[in-house]
Amino acid sequence: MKKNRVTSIFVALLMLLTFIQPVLAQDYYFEVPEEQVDVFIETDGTITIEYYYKFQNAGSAHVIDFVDIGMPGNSTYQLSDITANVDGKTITDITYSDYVDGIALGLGANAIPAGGSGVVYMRAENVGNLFYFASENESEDYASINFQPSYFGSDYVSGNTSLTFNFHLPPGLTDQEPRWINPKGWPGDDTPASAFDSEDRVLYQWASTSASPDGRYTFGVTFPARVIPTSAINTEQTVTYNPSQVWGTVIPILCCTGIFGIFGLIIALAVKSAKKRRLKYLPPKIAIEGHGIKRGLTSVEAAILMEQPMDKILTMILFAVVKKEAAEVTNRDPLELKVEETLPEDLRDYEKAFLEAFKEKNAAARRKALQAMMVALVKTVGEKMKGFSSKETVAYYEEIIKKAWQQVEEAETPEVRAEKYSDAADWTILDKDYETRTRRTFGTGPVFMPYWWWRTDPTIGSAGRSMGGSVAKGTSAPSGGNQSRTITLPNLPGSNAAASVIGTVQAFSAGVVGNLTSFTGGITDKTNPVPVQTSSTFRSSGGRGSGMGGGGHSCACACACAGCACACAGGGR
Amino acid sequence: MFKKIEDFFDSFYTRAETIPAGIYLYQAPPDAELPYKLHLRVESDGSGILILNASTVLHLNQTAAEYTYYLIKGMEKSAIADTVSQRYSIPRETAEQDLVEFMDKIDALVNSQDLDPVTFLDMERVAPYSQKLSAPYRLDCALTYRVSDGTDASVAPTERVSRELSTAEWQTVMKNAWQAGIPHIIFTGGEPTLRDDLPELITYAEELGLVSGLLSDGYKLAAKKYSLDLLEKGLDHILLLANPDDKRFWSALKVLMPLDIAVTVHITLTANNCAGFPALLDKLAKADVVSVSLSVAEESLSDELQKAGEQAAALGMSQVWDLPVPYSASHPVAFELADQKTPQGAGKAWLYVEPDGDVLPAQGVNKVLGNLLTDPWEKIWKRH
Repeated sequence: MKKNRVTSIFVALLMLLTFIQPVLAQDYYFEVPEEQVDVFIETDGTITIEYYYKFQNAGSAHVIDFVDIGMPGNSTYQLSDITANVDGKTITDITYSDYVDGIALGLGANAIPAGGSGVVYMRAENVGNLFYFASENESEDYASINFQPSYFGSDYVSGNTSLTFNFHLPPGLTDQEPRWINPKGWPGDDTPASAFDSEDRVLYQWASTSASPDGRYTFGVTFPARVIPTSAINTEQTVTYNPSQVWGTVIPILCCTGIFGIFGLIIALAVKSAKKRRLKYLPPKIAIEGHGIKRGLTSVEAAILMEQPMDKILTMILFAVVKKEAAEVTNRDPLELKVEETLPEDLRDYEKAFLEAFKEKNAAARRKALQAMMVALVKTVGEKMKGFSSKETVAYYEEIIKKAWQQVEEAETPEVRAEKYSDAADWTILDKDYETRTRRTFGTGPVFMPYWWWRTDPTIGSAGRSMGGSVAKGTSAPSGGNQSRTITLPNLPGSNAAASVIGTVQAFSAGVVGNLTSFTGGITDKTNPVPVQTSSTFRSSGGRGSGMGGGGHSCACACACAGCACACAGGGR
Repeated sequence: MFKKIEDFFDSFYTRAETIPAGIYLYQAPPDAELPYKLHLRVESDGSGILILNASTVLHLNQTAAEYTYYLIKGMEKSAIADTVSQRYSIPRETAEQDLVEFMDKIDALVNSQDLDPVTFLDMERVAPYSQKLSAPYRLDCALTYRVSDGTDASVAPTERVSRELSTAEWQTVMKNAWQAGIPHIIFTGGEPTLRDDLPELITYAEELGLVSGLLSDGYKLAAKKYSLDLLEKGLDHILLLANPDDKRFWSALKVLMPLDIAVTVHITLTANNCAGFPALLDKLAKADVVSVSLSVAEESLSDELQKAGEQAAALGMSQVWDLPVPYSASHPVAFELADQKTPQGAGKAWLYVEPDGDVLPAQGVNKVLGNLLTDPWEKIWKRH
């Protein structure tokens, strides 16, 4: 077989555009590690096209649910002549595409999930109106066809493709008769491998492992025109407007439909043409680069992010310092602490500031110090959250709370349940239904309070009689800090246990924080100030729009970020 | 037959084209309360990337990119609504409403940096560097591998290059980068301030519209006149490599912190300085440092690094990462996301240019992708 060296060939480029339908275009992202395209030239003047794609969907990408395949612009074909499958399972949802001039394959239940892979195969038969006469220095007429196989939008694909393109010439040709045309844009060898296929057709094969899924490659062949019907070969070089031909079609229609009908047709076609030339509108969409979940927050920091009420957060800090044996409650109402002289080393900054605040005897000064501590805490959480998604992080910690409760509720014995409850106390307290859920979980059964609980209630020193709970099983508290006494801890009925914790929260509200809304306002005014109205980012664009941004709030939530929605209505405890 | 008639009518209409691909800059006017630079990179398919102050990366669909393009071009809101309405054949009210909502979101992002855009602005989140890019976000240019007096010369891979590009050659590199759609350049080294033409290069970057940053030991920046000159030329941010034992570092901080420029201090945590790290952070905070970059020299110190990160947050310091600093890949977020297969930015979101113009995926990743002075950008990018 010899290389075609003619310089002028009458061909029309057949644009076969195939791409994944970008319904949610930003989300699609995949690789096409393997692709094979076969074009069979049939003796009836049609072609059969076969596409074989191996898709590797990206881990966080949109599921590949539809594949749209463009068909040659001027070609003729029927949906009934198209078959397809995905991983060998027949695709029944084959329709004309709304997005490309071609067909849409709906993968349905066999869609390729994120991180998954799949093979899509499509075969289209009886595709017509594709051939042109070639200008060849040959002893007979030659027909030609150029073919650009599928490519994908560059935004949606990555990696290289091992692409094989096969032209199967019509049966009955010798290996000396057809010619191949230098491919365009092709990263591999221009010269194809040639052979006879299983049907004894001349086969030209181009293959490259360094093709791109978004690459545009054009392959062509010419062959003696006698092997296909002359009527299947276009005589025009390109499809262009030819007035005489247009009138040749218009006049008969005019005769048949009358003047009004043809005006209607003209208007309809003109409108259709105009619309085709306009761009497809989708509402403006913005995606921001950022990390997802911020792990490693303490329960107190998570509470800030989850916009829990301030008094609950203060209670959590109290429990934390008590647990670390840095302080002990000496009076519940009004709340007073005895801070240990030697503090443990693992105290966090907000815990140190909390203890410092309680050294202050003046109520107003203490309140102010606690506000300053909370302001710093909110800002710290804000710093930690930079670059991470608040939404996803909140969802993550909600899941931790949920699992903490699950561990408690799934415990098989009251003792184990109580132990789990004690262990998970840092997180379960964040549940807005903490009180009712504790009651529901334990009913009238005993709840063994955490080993450090005695430090939160001075009355426990006298065996917990004032807690109202029966002392069913004593637990020796470990000595801590400078303490060396042994104390018997109470176990309480569920309702009393919850009430005890809530009582501590209320002690904060009443005795330390005072007016909770006012206390919170003193914090959010600093962490989330009302923004100064600024001009539009784009100064010359005609002023601001509807205006956005955060603002100081007068509710009891922490509101760690500017623009916080402060959705605390009724929430918290 | 109808097809031919349709083609006939088609020939009377000009095909609507997407907005022209390229990079466009919007800079806040001098009297704006917040100084900011917005870079819009329009891709060939009409979609875009909007980069706020060289840090926040937004991916825009075709419509959003088009609105941004008109806004950057200074078109009035009503004219934008008219244009979009006509081009897309949609009601003018729809275009105007979408434009207003879009502008509000951008305003909110620019003016309220702590805002969670997913929760409050209804934006989607995509993992950093997970999208296919036509060009990186940043180019790190090692102007020289020479180092300051008193610095161990072995820290710079001088054996890799035989010469330094001239001023004109670096300007060509910058121009090539800008034309490729790269909005941000960092001058690094060695010690870039040893290049006498640094002010000239900053001036050229400013003229092009590039955001420019400087990674330096700061010794020359301790001279206030020199620092002010760089700022005047258009330098946008400075990354200081901390050397707490050298008083020149502290002198530089003293000069720089009162100036109107963003300064980040980078500290590498090592086994030697680990014990004194909390005190160092405290000292930096007292020196008014509000932004730090932390990394570790060995993975075994990752816990210490996390503690340092906690302390920095408690001190109100913002943390930045993915900068061309020593052990740049070993930062707190990298450790935190170690099990999440996060896409790497080196070679994709940023590239590194050696003093002779050779392009590497990142500092220390010695795979030459081409030479930015002599090779076409497309060839270099194809190899990344």
